[in-house]
Amino acid sequence: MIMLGENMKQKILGIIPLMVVMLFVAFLAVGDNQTYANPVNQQVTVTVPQAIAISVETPISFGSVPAGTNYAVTPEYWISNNGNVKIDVYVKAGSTEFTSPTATDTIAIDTNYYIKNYNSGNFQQVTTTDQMIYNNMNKASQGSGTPTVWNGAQQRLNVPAYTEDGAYSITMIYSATKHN
Amino acid sequence: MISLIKRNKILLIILILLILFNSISPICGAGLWASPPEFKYNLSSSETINGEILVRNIGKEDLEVVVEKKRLLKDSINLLYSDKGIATWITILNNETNFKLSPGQSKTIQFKVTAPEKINYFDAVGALLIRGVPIESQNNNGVNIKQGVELVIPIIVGLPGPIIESLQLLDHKAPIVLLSFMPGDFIYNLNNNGTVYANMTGNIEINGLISSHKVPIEGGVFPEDNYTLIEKWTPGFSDFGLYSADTTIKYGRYQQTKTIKTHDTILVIPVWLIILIILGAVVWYMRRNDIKSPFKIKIERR
Repeated sequence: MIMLGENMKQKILGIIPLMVVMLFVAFLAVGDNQTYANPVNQQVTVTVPQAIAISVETPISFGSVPAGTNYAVTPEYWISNNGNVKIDVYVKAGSTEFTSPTATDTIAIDTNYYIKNYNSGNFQQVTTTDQMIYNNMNKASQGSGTPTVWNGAQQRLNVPAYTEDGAYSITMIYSATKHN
Repeated sequence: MISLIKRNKILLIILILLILFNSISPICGAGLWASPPEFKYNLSSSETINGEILVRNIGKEDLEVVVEKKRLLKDSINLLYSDKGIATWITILNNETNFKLSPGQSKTIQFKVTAPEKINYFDAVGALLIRGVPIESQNNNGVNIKQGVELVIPIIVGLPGPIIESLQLLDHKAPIVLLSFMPGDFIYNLNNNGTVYANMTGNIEINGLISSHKVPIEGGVFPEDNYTLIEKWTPGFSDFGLYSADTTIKYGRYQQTKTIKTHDTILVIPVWLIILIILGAVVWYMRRNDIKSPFKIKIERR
């Protein structure tokens, strides 16, 4: 049995924490060397969230249209895709007729109200259900965020003869859904 | 002096850039932005899942926003909605179905989807409709249109159940007679009577005496949905005579392994033939009735 003096004991107790620290440093160093010795491919993934967006010029106007006029057209207006996904654009009227706060007459949309279709270039009948007018509208530009804009949207209206004078209005809704 | 000219040039370039930027970026519009644009969930019976959408007013107008939950039906032309099926499984939380959004303002819409205890089909497609209409005063002159926007956010729910891939051709129409440069519509009314989404690919092979054409087909039909597929073909100048139109629609949820086939016959009458017949008829009529031609062509020998 070896008897240690009090002084020796204190020295040993002082060395132990130093050895633990040295072992820890050595372990880290070995671990670090192993990383260099055996390189592995690190896969980095990033998820870009999708966003859908649509904008449209509002309000637009046919201006003053005499009763009995066929093929009155609005000035061309814009519809844009401001999101980072491609969209299909549909359109519907908010009601079945143009109404006036003063006149008792109305202008029915059926056979009178049309909107231009981007893909065919033709005017199509406006209804109160969503009908496609632009298939696969491109997303906004990467980086700049400049939206894809269709500047050639247009509407056409026939105002029946002897329609009472007054201001007439309707609400149009442009729906966007992600193009699949 | 030189620095003054340089400064003027820089100002001019900035001015041109500003004009260009303004001509590109839309102004005075109603606009909505939302993320994410769709949801896809797999649910077990009676399971509930929560989701949320961030909506922002990206236009220049104050908007009155209405949020609705619907079952989504679509084909190549129309988007239709119903209040049945998956529409009843969706709940918009906190009663946030009607609110105002100023330009630049955002709002989070929370919802939950609870699958029913008894499941009828595997794929169900609902949607949240987020509609923004400008709060603007009406113009008191002329015929005016207030224009609003709507974002259709599909909520696609896959449920455990039998996977039945089945697409039924209810009826179809093909043109019988076409003239050159006259587009003809091939219309196919389809019904998905299976339990899963049917991805469709295929083509219409149009074969004649001297030419053949291929019209590609693409689309998809949700379960219990009717789909009107419309494809166009326009004969060219050289097309004439009888053409056989063989349509092949391949479908399936992932792999298009099942097939629908149709056969039609189209008569293409070329424009040049019509002009020749009319000319021939006029010449024949004039000769028969001894009518002298108002035009005389004299060929002289030298």
